[in-house]
Amino acid sequence: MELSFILNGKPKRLDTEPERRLIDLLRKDLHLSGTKEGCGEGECGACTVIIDGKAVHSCLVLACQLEGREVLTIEGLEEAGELSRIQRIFVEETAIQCGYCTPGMIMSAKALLMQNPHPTEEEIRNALAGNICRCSGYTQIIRAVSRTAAEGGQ
Amino acid sequence: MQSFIPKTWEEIPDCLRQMTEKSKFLGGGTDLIIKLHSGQLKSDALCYLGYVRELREIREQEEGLSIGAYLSMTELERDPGIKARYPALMQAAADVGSVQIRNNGTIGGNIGNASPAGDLLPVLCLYEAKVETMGPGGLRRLPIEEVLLSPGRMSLSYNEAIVRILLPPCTMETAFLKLGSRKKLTISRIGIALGAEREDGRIRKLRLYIGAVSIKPLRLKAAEELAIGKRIGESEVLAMAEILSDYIREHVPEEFDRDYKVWAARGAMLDIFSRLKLISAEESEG
Amino acid sequence: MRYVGKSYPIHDAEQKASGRAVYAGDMEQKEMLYGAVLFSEIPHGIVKALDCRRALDYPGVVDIAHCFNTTKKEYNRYQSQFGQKLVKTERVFNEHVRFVGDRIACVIAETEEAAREALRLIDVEYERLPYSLNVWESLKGTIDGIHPEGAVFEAGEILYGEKREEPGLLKLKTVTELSRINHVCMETHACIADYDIYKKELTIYSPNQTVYGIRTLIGDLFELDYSRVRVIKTTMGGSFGAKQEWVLEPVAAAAAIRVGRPVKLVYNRAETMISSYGRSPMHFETECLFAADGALKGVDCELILDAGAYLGNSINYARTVGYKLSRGYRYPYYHFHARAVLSNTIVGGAFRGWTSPEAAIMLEHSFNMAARKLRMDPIDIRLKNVMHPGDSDFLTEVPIGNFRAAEALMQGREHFRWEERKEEIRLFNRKNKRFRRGLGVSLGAHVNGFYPSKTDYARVDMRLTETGSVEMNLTIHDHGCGTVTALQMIAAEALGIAMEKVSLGEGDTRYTPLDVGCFSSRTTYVQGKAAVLCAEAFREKLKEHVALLTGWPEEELLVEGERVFPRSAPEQGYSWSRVAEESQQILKKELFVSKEYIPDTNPGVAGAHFAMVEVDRYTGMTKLLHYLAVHDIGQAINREICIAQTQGAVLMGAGAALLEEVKTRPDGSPMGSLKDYHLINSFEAPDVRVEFIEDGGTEGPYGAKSIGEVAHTPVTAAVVAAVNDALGSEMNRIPLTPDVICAYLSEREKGKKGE
Repeated sequence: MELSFILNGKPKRLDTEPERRLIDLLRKDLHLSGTKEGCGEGECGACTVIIDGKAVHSCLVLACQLEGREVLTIEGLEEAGELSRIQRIFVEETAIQCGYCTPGMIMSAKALLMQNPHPTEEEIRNALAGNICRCSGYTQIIRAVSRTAAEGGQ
Repeated sequence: MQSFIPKTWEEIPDCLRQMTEKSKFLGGGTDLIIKLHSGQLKSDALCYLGYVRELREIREQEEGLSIGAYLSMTELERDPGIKARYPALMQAAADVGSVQIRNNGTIGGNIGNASPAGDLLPVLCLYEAKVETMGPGGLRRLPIEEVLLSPGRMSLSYNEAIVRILLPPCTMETAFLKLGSRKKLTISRIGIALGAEREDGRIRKLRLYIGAVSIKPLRLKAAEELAIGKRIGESEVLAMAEILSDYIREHVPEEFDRDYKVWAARGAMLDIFSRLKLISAEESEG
Repeated sequence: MRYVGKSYPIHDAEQKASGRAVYAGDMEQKEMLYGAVLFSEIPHGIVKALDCRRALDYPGVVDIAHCFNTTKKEYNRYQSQFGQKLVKTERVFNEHVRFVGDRIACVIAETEEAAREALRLIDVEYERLPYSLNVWESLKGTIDGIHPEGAVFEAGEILYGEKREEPGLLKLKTVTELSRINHVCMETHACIADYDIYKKELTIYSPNQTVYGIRTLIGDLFELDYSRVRVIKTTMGGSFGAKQEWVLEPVAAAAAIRVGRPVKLVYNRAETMISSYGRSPMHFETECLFAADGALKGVDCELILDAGAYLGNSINYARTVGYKLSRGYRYPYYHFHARAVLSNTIVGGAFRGWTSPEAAIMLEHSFNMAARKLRMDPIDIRLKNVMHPGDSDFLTEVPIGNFRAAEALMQGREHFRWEERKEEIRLFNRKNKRFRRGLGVSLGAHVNGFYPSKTDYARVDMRLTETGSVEMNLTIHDHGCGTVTALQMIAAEALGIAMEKVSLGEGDTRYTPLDVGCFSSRTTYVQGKAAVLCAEAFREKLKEHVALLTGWPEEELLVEGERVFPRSAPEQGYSWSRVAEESQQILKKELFVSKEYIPDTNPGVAGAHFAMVEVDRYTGMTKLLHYLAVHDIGQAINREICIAQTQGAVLMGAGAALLEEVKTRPDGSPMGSLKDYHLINSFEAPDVRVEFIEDGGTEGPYGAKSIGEVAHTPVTAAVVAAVNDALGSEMNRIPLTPDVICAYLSEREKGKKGE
């Protein structure tokens, strides 16, 4: 099928199969490997991207659901060749260890801040509950999200 | 694989006509995509109706609230009308999976999956929801309890799409509670939808639908009858919980966590009655 | 200190935050093919025939490697050093399949989709054999034919001291049951192998804990000269022990050698959980003797470990449990006996702590039960028995050095408000019928390297660049917890230059020195020490070169502020950059040093953990309310990362205590999904406080000791203790899921009614 959608701010047209998963489209067809696959069943959150302002699992979205939608991946966050604020704060707060959960975690956090610029800790914990980090106890991640909010958003 | 992706209401019937018994309706895809990708399920075509405006709308109608089948859990959770008049539906939607799953998962998909653990199903039964479907022959409405047959099976034809869910006006106070294996992001092991009408502190009407203890939501009539005309306190709730435990003991196969459910029914019942403030928090703590 | 003890982001944090970091699964190579593995669907049997014709005809399929066309040489996935004596039971592909998940074949195709689709077209004809899903069935002899050596293996016996059954001693029997758990690294297993048919050279890229271990095993298995096997460690998305035994590497290598092209193999989550390995189920029966004052007089412990379908590390693992019991407490008598028993289940293997958490779960429970019977406080009974600085490991007789277990327990008692909370909980529990709160404490001890049991050494090279920076070369394997940054900090501190002036890579057998792998919490202690020694030698070398270049006497020279200058004329010196330049131009050599370090110490390292839980007696759910971890870390190198690592360890161990378990269905198929295997998520995670006792006093770099494994050691035991305290129960099986807790309470209630 012919598919047109917006990817990281730019219109994208491609020929694909309706049942192609978004994560395969990104990683295999468009060589955007920042989005990670951790379980393929919506349990770990590593593949989280933002579609029309909302965090979703790219392993649970098919090409046929994407027409005209706006997809934002981790690769779309850098601004003028530099890390965006939320990314930089994740780095500074040592909220990154093995890093495999990081792109999905940042996308979930960003989606939260887009809708709720001043979340409470409880709201942050809730918004990130679907993103598993096996290295940390989430402390530094939650701190990074709070600080991003305090410093003016994602 | 083929795909049918109508953009308007008018285009739907033509798509439905082209579907075969092997074709699947794709809702949010939170369950179907896993099965397709793993090869557990084979399909010749997917029909996705998520672009059709009417299927994404919530509308006030004379006979109640009409909810488009492609409304996501997040949208249900945030809708002020649902929150005010159908709070159990809001609570059930809010309890589904993670943020990502709630953003993707749809009410139509939850019904279409017909999982015994489907979070919305006891609530839809409680509200006596009607499911509006469109087949090649046109529209029809069925009570939710007639749509659900058994795990994974509905009474609908392979080319009959769920388009809207109609909730008649509800005069009861209502609430939903889910007990899983942990606090969040968990599959329901007991889901309880409770509705009550009170008069002078006594129960005039009570409805209890239990999810995940039977092939489809179970109406616990014996417990409802026990409550009629009474002032509810801890002992009444414990008696109702005992009815639930007895049901589970007799009907749930052991491998479906029977023993756990028998024990935990008490806690779940105390919590749901406390959530509706029919008993106090202290009473629920025993 | 300029760097040590401060906090820095992990070296590739920016790449990870931007999505640019490249993991093995992200790598793409010219002409690359994709592998997908066919796994046994039966728990035990023989593959009588494979029909691959339809699969080979599938578009995009290039070849199929399988049990009938691939080397039948046997290996042991645990091998990581040359000449290790191990029982070899496993093949790349197995004709005799021994569990659901055993490898039978690998389809090699132009795309992953084609490879996976073609798998479904292979017809397998099995002859079924009787199977066993647990040690009890195996001990009956049901699967004695699983390997020529049988199904039951002696793992070792340890006897120390003499048992004295004096009158008045408390004889305490406990049973401990551990379920099978999985590492759940967020990165699933992945590997790329490439074979150059002309050079006859194999290159392997994988996230792993020892490049040389893989080289050795692959070289032996495929009969390749070691110089023709190059192994490169890739960015690792977590290990926790999951990436130190070789599962994908042999398969990818077999495939690449077959087709002479790069082959990428990525296991999905289910494949990773089922077909790599997990922590073995264990069954302990223990008898402890305690004096009335709480002094531990002896331990008799019998362990049966469920090794799963292949032996792997299980003999060593079961035996090591015994050795981990001699590092926290002193007692006059100790008898330990272990067996490793095979079953037709997921293979057992390494897990964070390498048996020290398992040992702690068993022994700490005995302390708690003894404390209860003797009406002692659980902290007091530990203080009564704990080892002190200057003591030795009573089995290896290695001094445990500056071991601050007692201090950690006492500091925790105060900072956790143990006594106050005990009283608060007493009042809470008296009032509350449904919710019960409880406190738990546990002590975990661990090691710093292999000494004296196995070979341990490290080599670090440093060379000076013309821009005055230092390139450090050593073989490390960052699991994602920041060893590269830690080594960079240590080197910069010791060299006296800015951190960004020190660069280093990770393990690559072509270029980095021979190494025994990032195991046994040795990286900071052993390799970090080698880095310090190398930096010191490097500074001497700088002086030597400057002396040669200028004629200033070497003993007159100082190295400071990235300059080398004579004491008497500080204004005259050389910048490091000029040293490099003139060394090259005038001395005709690069400024280079290489330093070897062979450790001859292995101090103890302790963690005292404190947990407070609330159990809902009606639903069996346990909530972790408060948690404190106190560690005698010696010196934290990268502080915030040490804290984060400890907090992660707490969630992992608490998950093992309350939720985590890989279940197997009666037909032998394991449940390999995160839908069934729950981890503690951000919503349930308690606020974990971490405190470090930092008084150095070790041979390690700047007095540092290990943290990654010891942080995991006490956790499960502490949480289990708190649950038992809350309920007044004596359960010691993990996980204590709501089901287990409710079953226990239900039994107890029936028992009361029956009385």
